[in-house]
Amino acid sequence: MKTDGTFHINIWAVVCNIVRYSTKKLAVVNTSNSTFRRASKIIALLLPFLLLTTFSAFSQITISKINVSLEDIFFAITKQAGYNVIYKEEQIQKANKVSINVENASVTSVLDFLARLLPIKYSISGKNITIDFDANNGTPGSPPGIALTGKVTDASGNPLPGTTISIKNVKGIGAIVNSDGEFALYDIDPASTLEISHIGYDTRIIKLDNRKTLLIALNLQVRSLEEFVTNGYTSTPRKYEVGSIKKINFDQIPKQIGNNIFAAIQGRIPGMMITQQSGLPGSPYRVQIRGQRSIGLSGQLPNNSPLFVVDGVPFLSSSESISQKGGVLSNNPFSTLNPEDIESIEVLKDANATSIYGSLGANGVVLITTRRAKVGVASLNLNIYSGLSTITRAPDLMNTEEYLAMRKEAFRNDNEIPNVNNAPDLSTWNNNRYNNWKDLLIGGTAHFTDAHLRFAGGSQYTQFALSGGYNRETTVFPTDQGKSFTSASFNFSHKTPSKKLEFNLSASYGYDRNKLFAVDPTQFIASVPNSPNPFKEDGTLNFGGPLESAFSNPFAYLYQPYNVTMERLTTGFRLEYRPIKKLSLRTSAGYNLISCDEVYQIPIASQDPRNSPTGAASFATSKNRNWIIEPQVEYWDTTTNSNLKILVGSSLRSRTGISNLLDGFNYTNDAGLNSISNAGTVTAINDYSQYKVISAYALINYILQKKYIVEATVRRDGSSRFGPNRKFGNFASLAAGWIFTNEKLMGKPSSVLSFGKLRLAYGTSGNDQIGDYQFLDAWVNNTRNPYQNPTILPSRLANLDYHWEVQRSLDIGLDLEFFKKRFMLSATFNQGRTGDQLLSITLPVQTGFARVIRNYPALTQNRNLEIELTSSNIRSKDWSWNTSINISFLRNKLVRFPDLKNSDYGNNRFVIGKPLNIVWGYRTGEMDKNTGIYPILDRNGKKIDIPTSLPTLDDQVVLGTYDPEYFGGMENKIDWKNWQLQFLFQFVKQMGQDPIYSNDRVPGYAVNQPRSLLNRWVTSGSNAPYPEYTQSGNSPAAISWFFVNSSDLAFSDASYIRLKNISLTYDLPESWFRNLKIRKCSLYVLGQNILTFTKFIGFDPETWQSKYALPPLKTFAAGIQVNF
Amino acid sequence: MNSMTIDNKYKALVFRVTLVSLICILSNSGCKKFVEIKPPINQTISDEVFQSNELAISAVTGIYSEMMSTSGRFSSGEVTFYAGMAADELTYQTPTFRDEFVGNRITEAGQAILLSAFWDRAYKFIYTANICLEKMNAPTATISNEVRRMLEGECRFIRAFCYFHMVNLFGDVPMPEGSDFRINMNLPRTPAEKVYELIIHDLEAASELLLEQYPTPPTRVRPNKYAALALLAKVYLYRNEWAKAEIAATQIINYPIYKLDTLDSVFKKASVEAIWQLLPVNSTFNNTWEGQIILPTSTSYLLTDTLYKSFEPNDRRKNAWVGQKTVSGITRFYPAKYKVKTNKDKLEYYVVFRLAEQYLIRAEARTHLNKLMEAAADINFIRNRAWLSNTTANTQDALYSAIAQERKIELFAEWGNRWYDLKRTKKADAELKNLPIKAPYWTTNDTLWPIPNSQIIANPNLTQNPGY
Repeated sequence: MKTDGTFHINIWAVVCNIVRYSTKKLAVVNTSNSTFRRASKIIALLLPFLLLTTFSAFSQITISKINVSLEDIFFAITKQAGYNVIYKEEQIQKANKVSINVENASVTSVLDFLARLLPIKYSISGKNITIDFDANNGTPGSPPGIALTGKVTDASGNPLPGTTISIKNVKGIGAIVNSDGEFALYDIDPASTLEISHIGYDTRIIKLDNRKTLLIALNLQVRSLEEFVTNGYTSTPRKYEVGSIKKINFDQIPKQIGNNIFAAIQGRIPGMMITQQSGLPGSPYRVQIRGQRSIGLSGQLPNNSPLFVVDGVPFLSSSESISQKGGVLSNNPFSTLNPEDIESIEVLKDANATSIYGSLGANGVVLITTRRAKVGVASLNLNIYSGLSTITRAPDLMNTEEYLAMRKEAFRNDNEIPNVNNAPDLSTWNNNRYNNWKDLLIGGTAHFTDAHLRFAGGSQYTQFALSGGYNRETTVFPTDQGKSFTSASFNFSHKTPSKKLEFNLSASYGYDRNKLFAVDPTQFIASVPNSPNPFKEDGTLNFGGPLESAFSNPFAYLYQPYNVTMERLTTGFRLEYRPIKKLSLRTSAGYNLISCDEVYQIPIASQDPRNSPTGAASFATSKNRNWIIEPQVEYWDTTTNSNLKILVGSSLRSRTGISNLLDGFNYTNDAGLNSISNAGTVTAINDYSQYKVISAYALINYILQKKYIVEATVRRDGSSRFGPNRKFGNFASLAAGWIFTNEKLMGKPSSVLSFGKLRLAYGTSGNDQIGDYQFLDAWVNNTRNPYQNPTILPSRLANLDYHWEVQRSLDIGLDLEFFKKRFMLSATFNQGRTGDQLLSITLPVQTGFARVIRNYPALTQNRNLEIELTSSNIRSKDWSWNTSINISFLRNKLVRFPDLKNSDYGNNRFVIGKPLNIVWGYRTGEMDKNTGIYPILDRNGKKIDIPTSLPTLDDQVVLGTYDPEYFGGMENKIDWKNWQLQFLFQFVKQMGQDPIYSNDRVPGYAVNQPRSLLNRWVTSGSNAPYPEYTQSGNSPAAISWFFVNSSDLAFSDASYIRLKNISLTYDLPESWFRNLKIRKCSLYVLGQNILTFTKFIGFDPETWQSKYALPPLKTFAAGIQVNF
Repeated sequence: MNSMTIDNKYKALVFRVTLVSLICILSNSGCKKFVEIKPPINQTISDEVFQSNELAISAVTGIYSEMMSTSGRFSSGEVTFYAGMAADELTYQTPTFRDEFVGNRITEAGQAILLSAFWDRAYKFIYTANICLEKMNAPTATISNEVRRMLEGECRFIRAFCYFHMVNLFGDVPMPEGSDFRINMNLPRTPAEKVYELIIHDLEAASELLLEQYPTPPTRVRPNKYAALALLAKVYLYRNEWAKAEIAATQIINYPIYKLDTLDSVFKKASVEAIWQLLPVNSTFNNTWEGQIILPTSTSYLLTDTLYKSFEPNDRRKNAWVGQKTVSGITRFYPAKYKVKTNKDKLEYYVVFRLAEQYLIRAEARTHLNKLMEAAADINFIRNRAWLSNTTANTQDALYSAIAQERKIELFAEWGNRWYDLKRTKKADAELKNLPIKAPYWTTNDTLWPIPNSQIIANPNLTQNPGY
């Protein structure tokens, strides 16, 4: 033992009761056992291949620690084996840190191990160990093996114990990850390649490239039963889930063009019908889960949009628009979410999953989770793509020659002579001119570019992620303008080393700017083909004249800008504390702000100067603020035989809406349109609304013997949307599952059926989509008539009694897995019945009002059958091919409606036993070959003698329903070496409106028509599907046509199968960029709406409901993704 | 950093945040408070209305505005028209559903107007008055006592006014006294007697609550004490409470601001005879609906021959209040009390109660009380203004006839007075059944109009009047 002078005592040493002699950096370590343990916790590691240590007969040492200093190892030796270790502190501090994992090892084996890693020599004499550094001993042998330590987690940073680490092409060396997710490997080739695998997760291959520490996150395999699904506020492995939940991991689906999350999940979720409303950028989607439940106040079926929750904060519903001027262009607040920032979407469909959302859950719940920070080496991910879009399909319209022939024939049929007044197209307009309005207005190519950058990483304790995105898209219209979108997000998580305290902070922001026009020009493609050119020679808009008759110039609308700016800010924070291992206390809070600014201008220059127009401009702002606080306590207990989980929580939610709208008229010059102060007259409206929900809920989940699962949920809700007497209500559900393949009676799990689960769930949930304040009476300003002074009028009766609609839903499901996950089948039958319908019910006017909103004992029913199949068709070294198919059948009906006949909902609206979305129309007879007119039949099937008598509503019959008969999707994923091909077919079997027969523009009028109409009745005996042309409003042909518009002829098949998404990805071989610090680089091409198979003529069958709106676009894109 | 330190530091915080908020939320009072929300801004709820004098006044005056806001309301002319046709005053120039009223044979089409113009409107005003009465007396109300007294008087007056017409037109009618639809929706018809009790109770209270002075002098477009007394005197008369009728009418007649005006000025805006007028609120023609509708167009209301022939020779009212036009070569007469069809200024207000009627009420009451001289004197005020000589009637029976005749002429085509008089004096049968326009259809049941059928469907507790 050498001493070299003065003592050096630091605080640490005092605390630990360590005496350290050092001026010339020599120390003797002698510690007391208990304090040492308290001071530093040693993390246990398993290292099977280091079993060499067990042969030692000497005092045994157990130590496992990553990146530990030699000093700490010496402490342990001193402590556990009672040796004194003598060393020079100066040298020791220079030495690299090491990772060590030994159990009951001898002192010598530990020292030998250290000597292999570090340039040290040791000598033992009695109880003293002397350590000497040997600078020349740095490279024992060549090449030197390195020590590697690391941690393996799942994508959320939870440790994945049991993961195997093996070294490629080296047999017998490897590691198994311990319960904290950590592992260590020693003396391995720094250029080796590791294979990290865990059941249920995608295996990862990692090149070591001299790295000495690795943080590895494994992604779940598609559809794995081990995958966790979030059941409202807690999560369960899919294997034990008893509710009906579908999760989409955005990592596993192709990239989406444009920022619309609905496009990404369309066709992938059984029971969820998603319909795009138009092909305009940022256009809304209609989303409905398991059918129409509500009848609605006016009998106009409300959207029944599910509850959307983004990172725990309720979002707007898919049917809500906060734009005030939008109309067909109404923007979709969801376009402020960047799909590239989304990690997963979970759709909760049944009562078990949704009853924890109480009065809000009846229409289903969609949980959107943005990308969390993850454990792993900091990496930079860059993704850039660019592409083109055109319209999918459009009707083939007549050219000038065909059009003029139609017009002339129409006049001949009507025995009228065309003149300047009744036919400018035949008289003053140039008969040789051909303006192909379809090509002019919507024939363009839209361009878009998207860039997204993400920087993420973190240690096991602290993780972060930062991302930013930008994209820009133009339209198919003749303008350069379009939509641009910028997003940024940030996520940070930290947990203390004790893992008792954990918090997560996130913020994301989206800025969506849409510069378009308020009127969709698509509706003008049927303008007269020989109408004047849209522009005069001087470049100004042409409205006809002086030699030509005036015309309504469709291009005028392109000069009426409508700009919308939407912003979204979502911030959330979650704090979790685990005082003991089985208990978690947590509180999450979130805030979400969505704002929308609109400017809509009608310049004088965009209007026909002959009308001496003035300008108009509107300025609208609206803001929607949401906040939520949710404290929760969760307790769980796991024994070998059972798992118990109890969750108790509550939720406070507030939503405030504010809007202002200024309409300015009578602008005298276009330069002033940017300010409301230049308007001649101004009208202003503002609004404010508030909505609050308070809830308390509890959930118990019990799994016995990995076979029997029981889950019960209760929730008590109070909502500000209901009167003081009815604000509170209770909801509950009970679910059970039975994994029968784990039953002993079945013997060992057979190799055919490897997993089977039967599940059953029943419960209640509510729908409060009624609007705010409806229960209060209300007075409105009497704007018409002051009585000396302004007055106010009562506008509504107070109804303190109404409450949410209540849905009772039953789910029966079967999940099967065959041939070791090669083939999986999941089928769910659901029956949901919604009663206490909120209707506007007729009152005797002696009450002061003719109607009041009340819960009415009408009952609607939806029966769903949802089937999902997943199959691994090929699984080999180079090849893999997976297919998943889902299909949903839906039957909706009105079960009960007391006194339907006498209510406002009876006549020609609802029928008991029929779907809510019922279609009424006239029946038509065979075309009269003598007149070229379709006869309309009366209720008895007799022809109505038009125009002497006219059909009435009484003559209408039920033609069917617009509800889809079935819908679904089929996805294929094919991997071959570095190539991956993924494509999704989406299909819908449904009825819609025939675009020609439902067209209220009579064939022969001064409107262009599809070329199909050339096949019309010409003379007596003609055998054609379309009636004679007419240009008169009073001719029997025209009158008949008006009724044909809503007849069985107009009710036609709008089914389609569509290649919705296709993507081909090529991962560049790593050897190409090994020296560029690039980890991964892929090139890909994407396509959307590439092929559509349908009998539907005209525009797109998906958007048949908005007949004159731009259909969804067909898109191609190519991109590159680089990971540094 | 030492993990223990962090744990300790935040332990208390997380515990508090989680547990305290859980407890707060689960406690009942906190819960209820949380879901109380701020009221909307585009709408006002009733509780708020009566927290401001101005808002409270604008709510009550909103009723008058609504009474006059469009045509097709009992309060903007339809009582005059339809009760006039049901009696022997008016016919309609071209065939329409109105003929059902002229011929007293009301069917589906006629019921539509009974629902929209009478039933629906009257109950809307009654509801508004009821909710105002409830809310102005609720603990949440903070309006001043003066305003509350004034508005309570007005609301009671309005309610009585509406029920007065309903009970005269339909007989027994449902009688909501509050605003709660859950109670009101099932109410059966209340016997007319009971309805009159409420009317009298309301009017007596209103005549106490309202001031002698009009709320917005010099205009008389909101009721004062005397407006309440004017209707009360009429109700007493209808209820055969002669002494009370005489006292009420006398109070009005003696109040110095009321004077018989010249025939040309009675219906003008500044009429000194008016006790209660409604302010025209239409901004296109600015004057009364009666003027707008009756004054000559190709289709409009005409006086019956019976009525036209009832004018005594030299009666100045014939020239002053009757107009004439030629239709298909025949000279026809129409009521012309209102002479302004349209004007940029408001020249005429819609007169609901006026002094002349009070003289006739008092005359009738006095005749019953056997004060024949005084009764004759009252009649003569009216006759003299029309440049007619004093009445010669000097017995009770003669005076009854003289008063009936005078009411027929003085109050013709005015607020259904003729129809109501025929019914209350039980002369409807005798006077109407032989008229050629009514003869084929008239039955005694026709003195009451039908309850609109849609209302019987909506409230099965309602019964229909006999004969429908």
